[in-house]
Amino acid sequence: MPESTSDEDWVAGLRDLARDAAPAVPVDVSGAVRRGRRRRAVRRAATGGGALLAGCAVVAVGLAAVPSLLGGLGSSSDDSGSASMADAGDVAGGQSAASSVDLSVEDLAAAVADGSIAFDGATSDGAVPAPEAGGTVEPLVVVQVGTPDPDAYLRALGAAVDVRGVLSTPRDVTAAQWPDAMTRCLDGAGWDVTAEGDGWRAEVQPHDARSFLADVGTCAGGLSVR
Amino acid sequence: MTVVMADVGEDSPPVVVPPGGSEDAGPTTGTAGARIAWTGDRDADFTAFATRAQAELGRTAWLLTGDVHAAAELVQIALVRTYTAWPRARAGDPTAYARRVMANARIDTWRRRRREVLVAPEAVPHTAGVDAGAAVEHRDELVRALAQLSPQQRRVVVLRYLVGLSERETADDLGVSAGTVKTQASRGLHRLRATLGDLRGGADA
Repeated sequence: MPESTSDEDWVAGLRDLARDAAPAVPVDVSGAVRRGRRRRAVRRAATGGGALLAGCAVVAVGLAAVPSLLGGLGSSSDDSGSASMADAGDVAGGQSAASSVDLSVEDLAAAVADGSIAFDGATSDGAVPAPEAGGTVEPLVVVQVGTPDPDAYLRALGAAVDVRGVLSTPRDVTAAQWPDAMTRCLDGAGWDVTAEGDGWRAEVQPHDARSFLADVGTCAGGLSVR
Repeated sequence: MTVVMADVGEDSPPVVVPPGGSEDAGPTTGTAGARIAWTGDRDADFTAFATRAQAELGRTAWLLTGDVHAAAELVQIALVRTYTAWPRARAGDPTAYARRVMANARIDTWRRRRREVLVAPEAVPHTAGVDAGAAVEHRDELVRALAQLSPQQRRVVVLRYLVGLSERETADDLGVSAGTVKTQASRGLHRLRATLGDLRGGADA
């Protein structure tokens, strides 16, 4: 029986053990910068533009801004796809006349795929002003409820974005764990996403829709539902 | 405090100042051993900070989660949020800021899940540069021991003993009283000692 060591000595040993045993944790610094920039831009746009519907218990899409900002894309509303576009309203003066609706990931993917919302390069084609350019763009609120069929989910995403940047070693998760794993993954990617019930909701600037879908694809592709 | 602020120009790269003076270069910050003189360029400063702090943040995240994947996610969350709040983080100790984000992120997760999830130690990749067998064995041992603590005890033990914060710093990080830290640290340590036994073989002290 070895003689007892003091707590201080024992803690020193514990610290050494932890230092030696800890695995290398991969850290993507440049990715953090990139995602931090995006998160910051989203927050600035949301708060600076006064676009958030403060105080409302809204799980909604502030899509009112989109059609009018799309300009050349025509109609102020588009209900033809599964993405429900709210009434165009008058956002030119900063007013939001949105009748809010939820938007699922599949809805968003369909809207991006059919051109209703399709503009990561918004500033280059002049369709949608980036927040930095002074545009008042309300964030889309994307709601995920429950765990979807992974294959169908990725197919829907694949219609809008190139879903191939998946992790090389997918993590096994249960269907119950999937929403939380997705929430953490998207949060780690810099999106404003919060867990909600058995799913999550995220606020996404329209001009980031494609990037968001790509990250959803990456996160979803990195999870293997068992 | 091991990070100093010094705006020396928008375009200059961050300057790493060798350790010296009477700085408290304890084990509490990832930038221990050197100081970074801020340039005022957000991206450059943050990158300099994150590059230096990543190993320590990764280790802390792993100790909090017991899983390398979850730890990687946790560090990424912390870094993104630290970047977003960079002026505030930089005004204090960015490593401490990131660490607090990690602790709070974990707390949020625990509250949502009502339980802590530890992934099997075999899912953790080997550490390069050390004897793989021993490292895996120690890792396994440590993860199991930490898993036996309550989430609160584990957070306290990790921050207080493994990260090396004071009771006050631990309390501040976790948003609890110093008395709670003292109690939880004592109980957690007692339990860890009972589980891990004698550690002198692996200690330098």
